[in-house]
Amino acid sequence: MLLQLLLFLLLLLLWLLWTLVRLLLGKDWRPPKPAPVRCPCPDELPPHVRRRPDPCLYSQHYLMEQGIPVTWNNPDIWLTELDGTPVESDNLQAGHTYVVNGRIWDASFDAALGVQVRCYRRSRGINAADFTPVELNADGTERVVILNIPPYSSRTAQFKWTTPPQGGHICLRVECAHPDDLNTANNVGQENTTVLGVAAGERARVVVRMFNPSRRRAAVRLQADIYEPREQEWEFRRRTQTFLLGHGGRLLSREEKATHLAGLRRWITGTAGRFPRLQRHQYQGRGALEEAQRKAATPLPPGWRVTVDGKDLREGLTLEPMEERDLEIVVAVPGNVAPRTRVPININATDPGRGLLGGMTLIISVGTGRHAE
Amino acid sequence: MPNNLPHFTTCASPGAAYKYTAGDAITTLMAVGLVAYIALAIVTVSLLNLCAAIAALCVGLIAALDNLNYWFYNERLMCIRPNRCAVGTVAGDPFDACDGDRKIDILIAPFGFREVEREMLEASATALSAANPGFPAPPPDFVNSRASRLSYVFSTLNDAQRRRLYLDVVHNQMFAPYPNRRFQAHYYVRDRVVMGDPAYLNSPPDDLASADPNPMFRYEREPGPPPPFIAEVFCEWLLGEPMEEPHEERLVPYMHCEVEGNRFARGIENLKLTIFAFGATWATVCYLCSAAVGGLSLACAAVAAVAALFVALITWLLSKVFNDPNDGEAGAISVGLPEVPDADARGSKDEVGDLVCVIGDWIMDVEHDVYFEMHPVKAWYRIAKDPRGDPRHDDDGTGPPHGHGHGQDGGHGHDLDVRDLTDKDVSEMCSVATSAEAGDPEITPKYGTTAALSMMAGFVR
Repeated sequence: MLLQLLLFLLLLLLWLLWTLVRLLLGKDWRPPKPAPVRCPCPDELPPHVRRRPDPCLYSQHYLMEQGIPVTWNNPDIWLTELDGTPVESDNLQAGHTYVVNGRIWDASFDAALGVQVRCYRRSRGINAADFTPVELNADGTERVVILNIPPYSSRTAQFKWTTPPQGGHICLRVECAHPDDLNTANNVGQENTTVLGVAAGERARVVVRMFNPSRRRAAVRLQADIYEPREQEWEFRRRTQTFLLGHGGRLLSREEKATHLAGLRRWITGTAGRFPRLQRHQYQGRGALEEAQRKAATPLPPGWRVTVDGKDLREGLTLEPMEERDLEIVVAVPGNVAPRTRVPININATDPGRGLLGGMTLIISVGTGRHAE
Repeated sequence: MPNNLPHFTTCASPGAAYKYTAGDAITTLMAVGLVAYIALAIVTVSLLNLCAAIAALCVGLIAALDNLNYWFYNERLMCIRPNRCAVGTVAGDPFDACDGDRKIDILIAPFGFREVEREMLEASATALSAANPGFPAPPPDFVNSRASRLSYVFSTLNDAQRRRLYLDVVHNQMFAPYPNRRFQAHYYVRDRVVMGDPAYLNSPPDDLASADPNPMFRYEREPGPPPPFIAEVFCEWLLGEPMEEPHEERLVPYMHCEVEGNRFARGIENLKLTIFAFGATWATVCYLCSAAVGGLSLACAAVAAVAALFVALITWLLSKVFNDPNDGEAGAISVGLPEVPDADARGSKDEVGDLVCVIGDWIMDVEHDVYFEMHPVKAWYRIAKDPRGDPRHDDDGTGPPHGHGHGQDGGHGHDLDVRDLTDKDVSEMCSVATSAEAGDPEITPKYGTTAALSMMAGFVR
């Protein structure tokens, strides 16, 4: 009898303790009842297995957003003959078939699998309205090249392109796309270069088309500089962060672990998160590269002048909504320029509300006497 | 990103992996418990001793749990090949299991989700019913109505017929007619050359000619018998997770993949600690009380039991606080820090129809129905989204209409249709991905100016 009483009292005591503990923890006094069926997991895969690439190319829009000067003589887009002989994109034969090469990089520590690359041609100009795929499949659909790119490496997509029978300059645009892209702002690059031969003291003229794709008036600012990327080697340094599993499934860096409660728990018990679950790398050293490019973006040399429709370039212009207009750009070359001088003039058009609209690079070749029209 | 970080599971070599039974646990409990009892009896110079018996039982239980845990993480999965790569289409909704693993299934490339569950499934069902009058014929609207397909496969067919149907789909529809589409067939059908002799000889026969072929791929079977009571108690009460897994009626044969967690190990650790606390308290109080009153009495036993239960309860609650099993759920892992600079935060969700590349250890699970799987998944690359959306909803009015043309069945449009993938394509994808996973990135790489500008987003200041 006494034993039964003791047992009863024991059970009562345990139940009271259990209730007290649960109440102190702010939970219902009853034991938790699991849901009858587990819900499917709608979230992404955990970060230690999910791989995310960053396919990209020399993207004028992205670089300008970062405050870095650009050239429209795109280093990642070039033309060759079918046999691989390099061709200047400004000096093409009408009705001739070339190969357009679009080099795509992967700026991530994860490989980029199945990157879709497309290539279009546009009329000469700054932000011209037309986009035409340079190569079509047999069924008439746009050709898309699929690339698999190792981390911090590049692969080149090739498109066969037959130039229009009427000839003329064009702008080439290469785009890449990936469903898990870390950064979609650097996926478009353009090759838009015109070589103008002119004698010292003369003027070079070119007519370009400009389009305002928006539904509001665009107050276009035009700027010119003579920036050109200067090849040199840049060294980057890897920084690695190691993450351990913390309370609630959060991955904590080693530094965070020292102060976080979950780190304290792990330190006390020595059970949770025994080993690293994720390492995240970064390459440091971008600052010096950026600084050097900004310094290289020098304005036009003294005596050089660029006008648009007879007005100074810096006055800019206004385009009505959806307006497309031909502009005459004239470059006045000073008389004291030495023959065989080559000056790349980048003209960038920006809309204060929308950022970069487009641009082109005019390569002024003094002394050759070939005038573009 | 390299995957050279340690994992929870280690696969056992062929022949060493085995299926755990209740007998294994009881044997360990009895053997270790008996040794512990004898040791305690010798120390206390008392052969019939309740204090020693309960303490020895606790030691035996701890040993049995330890043995179970070791088997679960080291002897359950049979190694076939480490760090293998597979390309395929996500075939069902992922879910988290009681043991903490996240499970995802893929239909291997170059087979399209729609072509398999429509035309191939129908062709097999028609052929089987023509050859065997007892095998139900598919309904006339089989290809155009998913509801009809689901009804046929999961209501009309019994489990044996379903197994026959899927064996026929895999052998006679997917692989036999298409020699140039067999380059990943080894993930569904045993291949002695790819697997190697040890793994091949230690796996059940799966060819149609064998008396009782065991499919090495998975298909949606009838829900099996309910799990053992003890497993249900462990999952639902100790871990707070339902034992029952969501049942999705999938129509394609698939390869199972698991991103591993360690909720099971954490639960076992907590349980071992609790039993240890109980046993140690019991033994201490029992012996002290017996020594004080000059022999074991019921009162001593009661006092020891109360004290042991109290300490065990406190230990259990504390162990859950300090070693929360839910922290071992693979799917719940998140990085509570800012993403990579310049990263686009719009990341898309994992969805059925995604074309993916999976890298992981290729193993055979000796539990369940014995099948191939990727476990643990070490890297998961999404290659393409299905431009038509979730292929399961083509017929229910929420998806686009069914079509047979190019780019409309494999589900990746004109850009990347899984059915167009060749051996060379998949080899290249796997080669690039496997190399990226093989080692740590360079410490001080050098790039030219234009290359560095092209990859500017990949550098920080």
